[in-house]
Amino acid sequence: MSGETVPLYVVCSPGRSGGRTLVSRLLTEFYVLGDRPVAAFDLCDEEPRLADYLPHLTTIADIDDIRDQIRFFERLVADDESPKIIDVDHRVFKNFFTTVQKIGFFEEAHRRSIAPLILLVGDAHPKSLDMCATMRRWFPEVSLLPVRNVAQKIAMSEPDIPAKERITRDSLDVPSLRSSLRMLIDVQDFSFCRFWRAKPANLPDAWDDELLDWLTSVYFQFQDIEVLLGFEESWTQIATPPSRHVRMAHSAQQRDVQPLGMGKFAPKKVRGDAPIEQHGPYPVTNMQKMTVQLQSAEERISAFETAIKQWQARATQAETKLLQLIQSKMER
Amino acid sequence: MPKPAVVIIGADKGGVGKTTVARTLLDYLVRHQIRTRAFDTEIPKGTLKRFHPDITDIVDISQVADQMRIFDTVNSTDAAVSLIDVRAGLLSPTLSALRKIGFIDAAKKGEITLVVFHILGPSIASLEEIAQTANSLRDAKYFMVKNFINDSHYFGWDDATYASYFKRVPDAVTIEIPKLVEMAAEQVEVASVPFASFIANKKQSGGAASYSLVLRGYVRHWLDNVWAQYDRTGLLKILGTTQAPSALAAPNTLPASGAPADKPRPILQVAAENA
Repeated sequence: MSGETVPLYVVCSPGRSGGRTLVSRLLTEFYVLGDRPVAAFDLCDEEPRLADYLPHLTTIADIDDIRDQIRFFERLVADDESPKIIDVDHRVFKNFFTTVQKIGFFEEAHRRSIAPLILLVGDAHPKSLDMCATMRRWFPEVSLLPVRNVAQKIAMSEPDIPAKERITRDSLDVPSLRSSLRMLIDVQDFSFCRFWRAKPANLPDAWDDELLDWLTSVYFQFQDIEVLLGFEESWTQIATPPSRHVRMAHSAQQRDVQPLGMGKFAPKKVRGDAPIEQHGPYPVTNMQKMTVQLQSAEERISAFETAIKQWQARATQAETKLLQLIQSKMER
Repeated sequence: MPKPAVVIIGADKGGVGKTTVARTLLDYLVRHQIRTRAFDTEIPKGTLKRFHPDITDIVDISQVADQMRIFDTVNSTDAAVSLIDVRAGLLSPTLSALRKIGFIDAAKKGEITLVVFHILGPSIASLEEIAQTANSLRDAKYFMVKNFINDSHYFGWDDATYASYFKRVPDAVTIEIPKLVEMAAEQVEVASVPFASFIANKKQSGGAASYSLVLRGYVRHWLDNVWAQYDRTGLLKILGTTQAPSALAAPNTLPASGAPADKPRPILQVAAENA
């Protein structure tokens, strides 16, 4: 963490937009993966809730009563240097932000070197866009990032558009994921950290690759968000697990697929003349992936060159044969 | 030199929140760096003095000596505003006494500014108070205050009846004090500090306190609304006071609305700049 600023993520949705709890889970485990302290808060009353997935990291909170509000908000600004993640249900949405505005919570958070970020999970409905504008009006001093949960929409049989085409810098995109993998991660005892560290038994390599790519793209975006919030150090280590290096490189060559998020989420800040190894795992990971791509491209260039030579030889042969045919007809 | 102003806060009924309104007014004047002195007629305990001990004296308004102490010094004091928190049941007698000593006439001649905050009770009897008070006031600025802080319900007021009483006091202004969350009100009571100090998380001594941020937030929100009412009525102008240029940055007062100057910029702005 740079300086003493601590992030506070408010993951919320004004409606029943799916994927809010998924984003909260991903964020919480992003910190766990980097062995960084984190505290999650569950302001939901519908299951499955964040506390069902991460019971040891999540506190179930309530803000109906003023005593509950005191307990909850005081804990959020506690001087424990832990990033905090709040999962705000659509039913609690209005009460939460009304209370936050009434008590000037975000101003108090800023005073205590806490950087709030609202992650507003919505959909393409105009109401979601309106809510985004409203939230920006309400809290002009707070960072807000819309979340587009493509994964959920894909699960509802939306046309499959390459995730990289949808990724933009002004939103957090949860990319597409096949339904079967979606079902896998929705299982309550599924852990992204556990998956990251070891391939689940009985999961086909192709699916493992896909889920790993998906997770990598999300975690690169989280890194990007941290950079934008001003955190430049102590990133969560999201280099590809060593056990999967060889297979991933091979599979990338086979599929000729560019890893998700590649290049889109490169660090935006120049970090002086420090050696690249000091820049954290992110550039190293990118270099590994770029090497694989380069090798793949070189092989393809070589194949094209061979094909060109073959076609040139065939053309020469055909031309020779044609000339011989013309000559023989003229001689007759 | 601007003419002195006297603010009288009272009601003929007890428990309607006179002292609460007095406290919000003192905070408001301090916020605008207006020199103010206050008199607490709750003798001998002095509720107002408990919250604003540095600027408050306890007096017995029914005693001539104390009346002299207040009104004979209005012109000679450094304070631009003298605020008197009149004990329950003494508003009408006090105004009557002021008339007798010529204080009301002085206001009529423009020698002083007299402002009365009449805290109304929730019953129809309060309208009779208005009628009585109106007889005492001619050239004073009259504020009728509905104080909801005690969760009062103004149930017995027919609009036409209310208007008929209201008309008896020319240029009267109505102010509504919203309800403050009960626990927040209790905690400020326990802390025995001005509302502004509670919000700023400070003890009476000026040292750092550890009040709940939630309760401080509720008090700030409430006080903002109360002050918005004072702003709406142009109270400062009525009092003939001018605000010092640095007033809003005064210590031990509410922080300026909005986030601190060193707040992080919104993420989209940063992203756009980096693009």
